[in-house]
Amino acid sequence: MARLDVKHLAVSYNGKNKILNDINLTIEDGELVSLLGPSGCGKTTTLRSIAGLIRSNQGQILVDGKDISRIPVYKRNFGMVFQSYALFPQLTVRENVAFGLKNQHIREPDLSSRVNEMLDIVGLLDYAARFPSQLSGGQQQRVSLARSLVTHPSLLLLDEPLSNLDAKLRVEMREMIREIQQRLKLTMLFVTHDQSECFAISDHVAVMNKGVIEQFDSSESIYHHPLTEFVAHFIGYENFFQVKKFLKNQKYLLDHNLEFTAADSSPNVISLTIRPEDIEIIEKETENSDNHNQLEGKILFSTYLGDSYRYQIDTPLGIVIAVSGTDKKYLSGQPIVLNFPSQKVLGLSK
Amino acid sequence: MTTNKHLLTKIIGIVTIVFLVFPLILIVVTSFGTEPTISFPIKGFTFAWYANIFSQDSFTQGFITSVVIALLASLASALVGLPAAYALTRGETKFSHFLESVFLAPVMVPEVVLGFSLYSSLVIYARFPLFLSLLFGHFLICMPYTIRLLIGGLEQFDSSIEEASWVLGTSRLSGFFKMVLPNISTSIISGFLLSFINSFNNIPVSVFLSGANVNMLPTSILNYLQNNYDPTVSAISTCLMLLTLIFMLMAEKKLGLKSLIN
Repeated sequence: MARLDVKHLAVSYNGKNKILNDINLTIEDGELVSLLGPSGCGKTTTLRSIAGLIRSNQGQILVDGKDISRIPVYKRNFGMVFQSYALFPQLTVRENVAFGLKNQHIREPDLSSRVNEMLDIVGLLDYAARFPSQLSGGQQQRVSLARSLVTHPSLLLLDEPLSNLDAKLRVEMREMIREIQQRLKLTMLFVTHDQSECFAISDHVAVMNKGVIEQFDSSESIYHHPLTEFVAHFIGYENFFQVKKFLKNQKYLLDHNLEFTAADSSPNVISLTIRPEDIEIIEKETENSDNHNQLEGKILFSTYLGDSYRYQIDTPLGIVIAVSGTDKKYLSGQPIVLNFPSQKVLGLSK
Repeated sequence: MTTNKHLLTKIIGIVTIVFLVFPLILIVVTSFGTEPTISFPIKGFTFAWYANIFSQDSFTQGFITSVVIALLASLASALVGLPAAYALTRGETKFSHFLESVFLAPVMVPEVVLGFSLYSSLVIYARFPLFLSLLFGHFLICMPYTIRLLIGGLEQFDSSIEEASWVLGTSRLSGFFKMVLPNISTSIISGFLLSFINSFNNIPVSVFLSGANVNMLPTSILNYLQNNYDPTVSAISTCLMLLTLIFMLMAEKKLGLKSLIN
């Protein structure tokens, strides 16, 4: 496996419409990086230009420091797993897996032993003689994975590999991919629009929007500290408060002359956000003298999530979503006070 | 109400089949008649008219020419149509739609006009050999069908299968032969069959581009009918029907008729 560096990659369509703009990305040897974003954000285009299926207009793609951006796709020695599986329908499972090895002029008995070993890893040794049309979706995707790994590629590219599978299988498959990736120390680039899938599997995540990478960071950092409104919104933050003015020392002025303290201190912050589960709900009776970082509100309605309740709360700053434990249930119409712990309130820039 | 509707559909179906099949049966029956003109019912039974087919040079010559032209024209349209259809479906040029219309245009032109324009330009003006002109005319008749079917086949073929073969170390050309061709073979064969049948049955273009030594079977039959009205024509029609039937049965066995109709 190898290290991948993408530097200032740009792709445009018909020389005008920019699809990708200045993409910079590094995948360390043996690391799994995800490209996360909504459809049309350019994540698949990024993957396809790295694979060599799309010609980039600018920038470099370096594998272990060597620029491969002008090397044709069939000489790059990458593996790729497609959303549609893309198995060769006229070939059996065994022939599908052996296909890349034959192109590398691997001969028997090496050929068979490597194919068998790979089919064993994905648990499909018993299905070797079948044709792809005789397999289920999950089995087909496992063949596709085996086919792309058997050639010992320097980089494995996965283009939404799980999106055609049902929910339970999706979790199973992503754990299997992660397990194989760690065991064989593979360098992988994984494209997905599913944020939970992405956090479950990745070392680093690049969140993309409109052809640029908005944030490239470790999974934990992205989850706990999104930098822009788009990233926060896409990974599940639901409460956004517009900032009218940056005061000083982490203090921001919001609508209705409310003053909030956040974890960040920057004049570039345009809104504040907090995860629904980080908001504390306090009963109105326990009158609190210190109303800093607090909002009065009224419960609109609640939904039961099993391990918690999720509330919609009407406040002067609009509807706020809060999640709290099941030890106490607040009723619709009940007046409450919301407390926003300042270390959990994040500042977002544009 | 529903049973009435059902009955009506049945009746319409039966009537349609009778009207379609009855004339064909009539032709088959009259081809065995002993009368010197085509008549029904027949008074005696003979194979004489079948023997007569082979005594007519224009029929045997016409049949050979027709088969050769149909084969060559279908083959040429497949060879030109395959790269064209591939470029039209895979290419990202702005002109794809325009080019597709150009390739499909010959269907819009009345065949009489096509035949006449080829006659005046190729035969009269450019003094092209008649056989080549005829072949070119039939190539133009076949190409739209071939390209239409190939485009259909290629659009249904998942292009990521081809891309997967590239990623695994197959060059573009080799990928085309290893992945694209085997997976659109149905479209290629049905395009070829449709072209062959169209070329073989064509009269308007053939009439203009026939001459002393170059005659197609349909034009030979037409010429024969102008002077004779004997059951030889019935006999040769029966032979052609039988040939088509064998052809279709083979296609059905190999591909299933549904795929032919697409």
